[in-house]
Amino acid sequence: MWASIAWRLFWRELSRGELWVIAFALFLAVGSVVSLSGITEGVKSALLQRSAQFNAADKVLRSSQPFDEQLFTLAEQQYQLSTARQMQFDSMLFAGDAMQLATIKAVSSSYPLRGELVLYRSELVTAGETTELKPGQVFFEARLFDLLGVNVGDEVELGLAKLQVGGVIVNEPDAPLSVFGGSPRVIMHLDDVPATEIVQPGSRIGYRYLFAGDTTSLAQFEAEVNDKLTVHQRWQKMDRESAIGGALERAERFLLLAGLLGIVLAACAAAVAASRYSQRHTQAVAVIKALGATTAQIRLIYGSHLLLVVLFSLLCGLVAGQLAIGAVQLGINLYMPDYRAEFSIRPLWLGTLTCVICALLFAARPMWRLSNTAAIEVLKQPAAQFVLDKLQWLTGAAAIWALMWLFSGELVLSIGLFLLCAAFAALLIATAAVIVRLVKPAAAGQASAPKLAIANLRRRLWANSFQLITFSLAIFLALLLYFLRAELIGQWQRQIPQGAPNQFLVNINQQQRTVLNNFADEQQLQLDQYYPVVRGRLMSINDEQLQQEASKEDRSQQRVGVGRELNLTWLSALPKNNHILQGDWFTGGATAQVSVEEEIAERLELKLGDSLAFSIGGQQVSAVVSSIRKVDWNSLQPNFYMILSPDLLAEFPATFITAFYLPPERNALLNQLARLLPTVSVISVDNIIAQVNDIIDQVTVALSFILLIICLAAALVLVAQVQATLEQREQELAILRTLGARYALLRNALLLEFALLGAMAGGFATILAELMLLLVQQRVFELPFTPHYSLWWMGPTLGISMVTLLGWWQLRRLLSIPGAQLMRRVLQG
Amino acid sequence: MNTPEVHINAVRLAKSVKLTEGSLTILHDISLTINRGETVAIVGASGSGKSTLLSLLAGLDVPTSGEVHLAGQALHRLSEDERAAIRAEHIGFVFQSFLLLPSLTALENITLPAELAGVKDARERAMTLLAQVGLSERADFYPAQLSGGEQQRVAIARAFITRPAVLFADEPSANLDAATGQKIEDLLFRLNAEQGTTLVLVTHNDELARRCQRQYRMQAGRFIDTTTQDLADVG
Repeated sequence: MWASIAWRLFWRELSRGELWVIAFALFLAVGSVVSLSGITEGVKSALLQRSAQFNAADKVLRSSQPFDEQLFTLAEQQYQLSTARQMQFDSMLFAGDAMQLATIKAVSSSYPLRGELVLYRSELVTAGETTELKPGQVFFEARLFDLLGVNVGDEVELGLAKLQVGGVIVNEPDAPLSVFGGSPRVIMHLDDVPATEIVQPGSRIGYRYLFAGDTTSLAQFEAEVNDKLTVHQRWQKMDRESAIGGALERAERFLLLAGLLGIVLAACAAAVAASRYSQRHTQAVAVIKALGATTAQIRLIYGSHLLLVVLFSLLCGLVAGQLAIGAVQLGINLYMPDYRAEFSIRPLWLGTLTCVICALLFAARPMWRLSNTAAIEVLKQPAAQFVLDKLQWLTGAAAIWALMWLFSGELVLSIGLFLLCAAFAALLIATAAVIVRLVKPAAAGQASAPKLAIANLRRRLWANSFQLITFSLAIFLALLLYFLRAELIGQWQRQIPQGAPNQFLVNINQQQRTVLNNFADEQQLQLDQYYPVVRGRLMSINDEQLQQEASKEDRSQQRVGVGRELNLTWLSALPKNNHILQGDWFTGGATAQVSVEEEIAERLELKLGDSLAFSIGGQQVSAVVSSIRKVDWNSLQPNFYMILSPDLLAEFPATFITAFYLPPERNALLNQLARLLPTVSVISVDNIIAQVNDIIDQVTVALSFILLIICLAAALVLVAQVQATLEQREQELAILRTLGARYALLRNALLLEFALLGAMAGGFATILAELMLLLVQQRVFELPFTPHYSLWWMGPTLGISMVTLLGWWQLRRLLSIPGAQLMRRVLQG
Repeated sequence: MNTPEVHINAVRLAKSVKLTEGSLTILHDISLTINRGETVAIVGASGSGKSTLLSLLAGLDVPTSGEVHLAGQALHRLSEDERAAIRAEHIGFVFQSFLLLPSLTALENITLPAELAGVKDARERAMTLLAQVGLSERADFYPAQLSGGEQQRVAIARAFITRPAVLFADEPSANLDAATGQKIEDLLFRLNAEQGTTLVLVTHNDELARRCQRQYRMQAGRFIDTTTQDLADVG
């Protein structure tokens, strides 16, 4: 029997509004959780896939020891992963009398697992017939043809093997992104390596295990392999060298932050709407109870309402969230055609859990309270004032924290953010109390709009400080998001400014500098500064010899060196994107000094005043550490671990690096340059810049989407709040109208009340947003704090306009009801 | 002549409420007996405690001390849900402010108590009652679409649908104009007589009170006077 009553009441209640507010709030919470976590996952997976292309695999294990077959068997048979092998070493290539040191990469037939290896049967990268790598062949980086004086089809010697030149390398997916070219690159087949007999005990050879497959299998495989790794084996970091890694991390943190707060807002709207729903039904429940219903029957009736609303919102939220994810995946596909969208269940259960938490902790409590209404209430005057009980504050607070934790997965972040919100709420209540005391009660005399507004505000401000908190929170979020979005995009754009150098030239010798300068003048190209480069090995620190390679057997106290040759430079001015952390940059007469990058200084346990000895071209050079630098590795600039004072290296034969900006439409100039300076390598970072820009565009769309969600949630909170005061306002208006108050007076008082409330909320929000921006700038972006002047007028303006418009929109109908009719409505309850 | 059957019996009822500074006693030492089929008025000014007494007699609330028995059940010992079951079976209500559920139609408001009590022919009974109160045409109207008098007629129909043994009416005509109020009172007494219901009426209106067989006059939470009407005077 209760079911038919419940169903009938439910349908009628739908037309009255509150159920829709609860439903829409839950829908918004679920939808935003699903879409945000899905979109974050999508963007992350797109970036990982892109990063996989840069590494030719999803996961790369590097080793200095020969391949361990068991690892391949494990990966292929137990985890169904695809595998490829790669060896890398430096060796001399001979062609007749000519010889050249080259970096040789020997790969198995399955290489690459991700990305594309493009080889042309030609000496030029600009034109040629595509071909594949076969045993017996070698492919060259373009400049090697000139250096060795060979053509396609000629024979070259590598170790003891004779190999045929198959063509030119056009695209090597995992070519180093570093702007230091190093030796020219050569690709050969792994099967030919034994014939060269280059692999001897003690040879310096890098072995790489390439793996690809689905994310779960890869993660399980990695976990199993981690226990078996030797000191010679380590996983390669997938995004360290690209500017994308940093951008991704920031975007993720930002989406997380925004998502969290949006959900809190939506949950607040649900709580307010549910409280009002329960308050408005108190008398109906008392009547039904007086007519003989038991508490259990009431729980079934109103519990089923909540259940229906929750199920409906959950379903709509899941569908809408999934649609948003689909749209973003389509968007990613536009700029990354080979993107493999992976369906993830995580956003769906996260959304469901959010809905359950919101429903149980925000909405169920008022419903429970409603069911406990005593039948005696039927004889009492219903309360017009909307109140939240203590337990609801507690359950609400617990729910907010639980959501923060659930969504961020970070305990410390969630506790911090929660405490911040709680402190903010306490501060607001205290401030509201002070304001209420300061504002004088309306003096006797003629009624005026400001007097009425202040009287209203005084009363409601004190009773409903919750309203002020949520208004402030909503405006704060909108402001924070707007400014953070600008901050984030600005930072990315600063990183890759318009017209930043996109073509790097490496291996330039002293004579070629003049040719290059003339060429640049002729073509009106702006060359960046020349960075001299000399390769050297760090041999000792404070006369203590360094171990050049880590080994399991040798557990001596000896410090382990860098393990490879370093690119050393000398400069008199501190390069851009470098900051001195300790010590001082070289002064005019500095001699025998070195400035060391922070991370490597930490790894080698270096401190100011240590003496370093380098071996450069067979000669020993010593320098004292005079400063430690922080380097922005995300900047597309030549960066150096060690910068020596100019006096030390000037004698050594150096090559140079420079860069210039070339608009895409003038790309043909690169061929001209290659013909002019055949031994100089041109490394274009256009693709990287384009990718980063694509990602910025994508993330900007995602951010605007979140801003929209936050604004909707904020508006919803306002609507729920104003609705919650409707009955009380109706009573007051009825009395004032009956007492002869004119329409204009009531309208102006109402507008002024909302404007004052909005101004107060906007003011609080501004202060909080500025504090939060300070925190985020310093902690997340690691930037010095700059005040946001526009925030200080935008906050209050936004507060006034948002609160006044929404308040007026909802209450204008009340004002237009004739006094007598209003009074009748009030009297009839 | 048979001894009239005792239907409601209250013994030394008292009710206090806790306030921030101490407690306030609203009812003092009230005892009364109402027989089956009797019509009783509780009269008094606002704040005299008459509505509180009604809430105790009807099992809407429990006394601080004393006993209430209704249809042989000790209401003061029962839980809220047990009292609800008694109300569903034995009691009907008419309230001053009608208290119809705004989201249900007139017909649905009337059937509600019957549905809660699991009555099978709720709808038929409701239609009959609607006809008796003269609102057959208004069956599908919502309360907001009805006048005050019509709403109270719906409320009276709702009160009789479970064929209650006792009807409690709290100022049934106080919110209505004199003419409509008179009609409502007539309707109430007519249906009451037809169904032989025990009627307990709370009012400040002496004229209305005089239509009952007995009147208890209250002041400051105590009975100050009890009058028994001649049957001939009762309308």
